[in-house]
Amino acid sequence: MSAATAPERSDAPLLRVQDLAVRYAAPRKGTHLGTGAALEGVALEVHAGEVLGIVGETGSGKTTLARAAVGLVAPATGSIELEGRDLGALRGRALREFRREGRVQLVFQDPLRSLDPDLTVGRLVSEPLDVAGGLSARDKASRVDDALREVGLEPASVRSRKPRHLSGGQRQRVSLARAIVTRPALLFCDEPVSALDVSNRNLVLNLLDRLRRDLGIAVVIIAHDLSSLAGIADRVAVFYRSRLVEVGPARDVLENPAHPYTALLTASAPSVTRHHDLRPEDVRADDPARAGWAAHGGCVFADRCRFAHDACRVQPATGPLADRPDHSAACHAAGAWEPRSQEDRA
Amino acid sequence: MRPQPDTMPGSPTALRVDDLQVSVGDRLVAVRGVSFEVRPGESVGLVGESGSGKTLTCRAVLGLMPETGHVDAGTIVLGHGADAADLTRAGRRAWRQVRGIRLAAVFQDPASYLNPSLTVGHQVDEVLRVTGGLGRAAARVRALELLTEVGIDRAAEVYHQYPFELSGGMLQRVVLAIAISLNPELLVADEATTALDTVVQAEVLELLRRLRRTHGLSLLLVTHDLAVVAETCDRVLVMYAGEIVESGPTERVLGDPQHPYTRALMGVASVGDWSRRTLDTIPGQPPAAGDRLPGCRFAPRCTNARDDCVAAAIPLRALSGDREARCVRVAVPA
Repeated sequence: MSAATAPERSDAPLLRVQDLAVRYAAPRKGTHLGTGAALEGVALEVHAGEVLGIVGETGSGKTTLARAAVGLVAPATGSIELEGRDLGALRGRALREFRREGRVQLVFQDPLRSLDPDLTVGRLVSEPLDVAGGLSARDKASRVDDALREVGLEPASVRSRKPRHLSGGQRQRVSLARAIVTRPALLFCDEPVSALDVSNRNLVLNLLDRLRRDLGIAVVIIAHDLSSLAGIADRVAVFYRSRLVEVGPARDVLENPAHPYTALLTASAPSVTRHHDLRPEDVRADDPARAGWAAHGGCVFADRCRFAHDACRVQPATGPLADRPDHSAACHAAGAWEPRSQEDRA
Repeated sequence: MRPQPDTMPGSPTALRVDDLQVSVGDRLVAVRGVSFEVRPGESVGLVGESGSGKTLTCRAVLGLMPETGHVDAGTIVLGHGADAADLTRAGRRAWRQVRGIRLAAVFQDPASYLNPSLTVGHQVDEVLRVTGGLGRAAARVRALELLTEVGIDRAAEVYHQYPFELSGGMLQRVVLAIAISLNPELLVADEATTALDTVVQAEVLELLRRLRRTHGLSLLLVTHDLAVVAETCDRVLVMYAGEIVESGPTERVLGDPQHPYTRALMGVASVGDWSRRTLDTIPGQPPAAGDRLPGCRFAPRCTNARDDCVAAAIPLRALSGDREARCVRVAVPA
């Protein structure tokens, strides 16, 4: 990784997640629903001014991490520290206070569903300030206008409109204005652009990029479109079945994946021109015999991995790669596995 | 390699759409004189932003217009020769002979097209029995074959499961099994892989390619993602503000786009180049349905627009290499 593309960052992380586990109710017998575990053994840091991208399939724990970071779900084990404060230890009044302050804000995928259709843009954006309290009406109004301008909306023309009278891209910008109005330190965006067209998608991503520069906030973007993330994220974290399986500098993770699941992801991403010649079938396997391994402490990816071997009966910890200390993966064969070559394929 | 379709003029077509005009709401024209063909066994991608008219075009083909929409003019013909069926004139009874039998469709959200209170097997059986005329036992055997064919490993187990027990990718496979159950000539896929995870999307696209080979299926794929078209389609139609602005073989169009809008779309598409650090956007907004513009509808957003672009309507002109583009600044072969 070249030093030129490494983000500037302060030493103390803004968000520090250590050995985090979140568990929902255990599955009922006879159903195929869930395993109870939503996150297991996750360790992750987010620094001020950086954009961290999170990818992973449905149910891999991405959204649970976002919910844990804003204090909506309590960790079963481990800790989540924001600016040095352990969120897991907050109870009652302290937890409510923390949520009201809005130091961490969530932005959702579908603004049509997450914005109250009966409220005007002005009300929607000032609501988090009403909840936080302590500002005069005039201060609130000016903060709202600032937030709207920051996301590229003209306050006078949108303030009295309702969500349905805005375009999809504008609505998502209103969600962002609502999120930044409390001057958060960390913005957690859960699939912020999945519901948008490619053009609007890039508009919103560029806006997020500008927000982190202008406001110095950290932005975490959950997405399933790898090329969006490639264009904006400094680092990428990959989740698979409640585990963080790989994390590192965006370009390094996407171009030289250390975990076979990440390789499967990059090989599966559709593209207009093929820059990577790895194909899904080069890293994918389907071995039902290994399907039970994960339930007995084995690697969560073993049943779909072409490179699984006996060692994979034990889930490896996420650790730094020997030759790339800023890049971690949870794979016994990290960096050592070789995808099926072009000749083998033919 | 993709099968090369027969490109002779006058060759058989699986679908022919001629001069289609669709309006929405209070006579706002949303699809303006759209014409295209899908040849037998061919896969055609219809691509554009939201509001480009791509979904309305596909709804018109399926005879599933939203309540506010209306087909004002044009013809839509399924099949050719003695089997040709004019869908624009089809009544209820005629549609019953076509929909689900000769013409099938899959949409973005498979869960909403399956009955949540019936097992998967029940729903596949139902189509085979009611429309396909199979007996109970034969339908069950065929249903299991179909589920296996769409890549469901434990078909016998899935057969007895309810939709809520399956993932989005599995549900889309079930919907595809139902869609191909009566061997349709044409499959319309409207953003069928948009909501799926990257890995599952690649698997479903792979499945679509395989079904085309094994069933000789023609495919009309509606998507906003050029990358999906690149992976799946022989030919691409680019729609903008209700019109086709460029069409031709996928590799040629994406390799050397002629219309400025196609070029702009290429700039914002997933290029699979992980080192790219800029995210392009297309400045401005597309015109609203019904907006009257004298010339090129993309001109207000086009960096190359000149006076002659907005003087009069721009026709779609044939270029070499089986291509067409709607731009006055593109050189036409003499």
